Amino acid sequence: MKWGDWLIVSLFLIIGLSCMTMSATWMMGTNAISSYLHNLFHICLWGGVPITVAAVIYVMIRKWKNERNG
Amino acid sequence: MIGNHIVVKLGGTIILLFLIVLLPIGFVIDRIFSGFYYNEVRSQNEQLSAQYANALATTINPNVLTMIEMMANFSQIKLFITDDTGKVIAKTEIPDITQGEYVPEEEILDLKDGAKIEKVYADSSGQRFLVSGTPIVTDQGVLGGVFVMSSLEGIDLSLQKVRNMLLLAGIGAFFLALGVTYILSKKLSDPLIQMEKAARKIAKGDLETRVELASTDEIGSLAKAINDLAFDLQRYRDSRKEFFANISHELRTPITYVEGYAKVLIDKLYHSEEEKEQYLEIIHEESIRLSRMIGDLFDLSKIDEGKITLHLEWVDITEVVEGAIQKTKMKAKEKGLNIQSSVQDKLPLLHCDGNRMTQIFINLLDNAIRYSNNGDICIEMWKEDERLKIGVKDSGIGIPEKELLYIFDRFYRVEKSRSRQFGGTGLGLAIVKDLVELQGGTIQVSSIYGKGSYFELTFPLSAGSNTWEDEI
Repeated sequence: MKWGDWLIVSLFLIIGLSCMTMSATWMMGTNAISSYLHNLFHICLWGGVPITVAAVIYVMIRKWKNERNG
Repeated sequence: MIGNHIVVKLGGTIILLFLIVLLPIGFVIDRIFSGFYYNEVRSQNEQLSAQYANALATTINPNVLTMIEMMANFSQIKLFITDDTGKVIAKTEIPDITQGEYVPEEEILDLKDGAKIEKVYADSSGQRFLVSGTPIVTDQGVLGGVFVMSSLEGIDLSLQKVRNMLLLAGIGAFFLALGVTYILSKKLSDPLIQMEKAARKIAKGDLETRVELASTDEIGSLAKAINDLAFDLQRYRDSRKEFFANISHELRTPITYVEGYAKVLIDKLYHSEEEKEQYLEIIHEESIRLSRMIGDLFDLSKIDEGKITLHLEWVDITEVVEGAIQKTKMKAKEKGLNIQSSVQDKLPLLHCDGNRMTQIFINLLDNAIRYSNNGDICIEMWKEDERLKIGVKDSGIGIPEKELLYIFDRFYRVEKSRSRQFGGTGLGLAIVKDLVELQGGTIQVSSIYGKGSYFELTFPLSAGSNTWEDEI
């Protein structure tokens, strides 16, 4: 992927995360930046869960394959 | 066309799948929120109307109606009470409902059956209310009903706010998915695009092109197959080029000799009859060489095209080897070489083409004689693990180890500079290898440079192999 592709991807991810964080923060009725950041952190945390699970499974499979191949 | 790209197709499919999940989930979440809010108001209305209906049913005080009306007004609860005919007999501040008017008959019938009423009512200003009606049930029957109304304006506003937030979160999720899909589709389609470009370059003749992929899955296997194909094509093209270069060189050399010496003879440029005889001998030798080369090339082209016909039969290979030795004995004697054979007793018959086997052994013996100046040439035959093994050993110039790989290539010669001295066409071993493999055998060579070479042929013995004596 070229730097232009990464720019587009970053833009999409920033817009996506901003929209979701705004939505979560607005309903809580507070406009404090700390609340916004707190929600952003939690959204990233929830998004990171499947990535972490996938990474752990991938590492385990690779390790198992390496052990099997000796 | 932009849609005709694997990245777009893959990305579009993932996004479509995402939307197929996201939109119904959005609808379900909206229903859950709406249901939750409406249920809250409904249960509140039902509870209140049941309380008032119970109070009216159990109290005998005639002023109870007025008291309830006052309490409701005080508590800002919107309600109206009807008698058993459906006529409104008491009400709080409700703009469009007047005392004395009648509620629809079907609602009264439902109340008389003891059922609760629930409906959404909109007044003249468009404001919506959730109405819950409970029958006033006494021992004498249904005396009427209590209808409690709650404005849905607040709920609708809250729901609209929730919907807006859900929409915003949905848009966020869509962009997030778009970003992840972009990476995924690019990463997944990159190897395919790389292979497509490599295949196109290979098709255009750039056979040095290779696909650089480290993965070990099916994509990696495909890349390896493309690389192997390019390598084979490159090898084929190089060997074809080399073959044509060699063939033209090898054919031109004897023709030049014949042409040159024939010219000398025509112009009578010789000094003696002896010299003339010598030139004629050279022309004769070169014409034989040319004829043999054309014969070898003809054989090879037939093998390449698969047009060679093998006449397979049960052959006593000892006889074949003895025949080949007899045919090459004279040539060996001329060089002072001795051909020895060592054959194991009762060797089984081999299912092969006798004439082609003779050609194989004559070629191998010719080769051994050509490159040996002294010593013996040995042929040995034995049976080992249901295989017939034949070894041809010479004490010739040998083959350097790094050249052993190419010894069966067409026109390959170990001593290129002395090829005319040794003679031969450079095609003999190539023909031997092809003929051996055509008959299901294998050939291996080992050599010590300067000391000699050893060719070992292996043929599988089929289940029906018997010895010659058994056959008799």
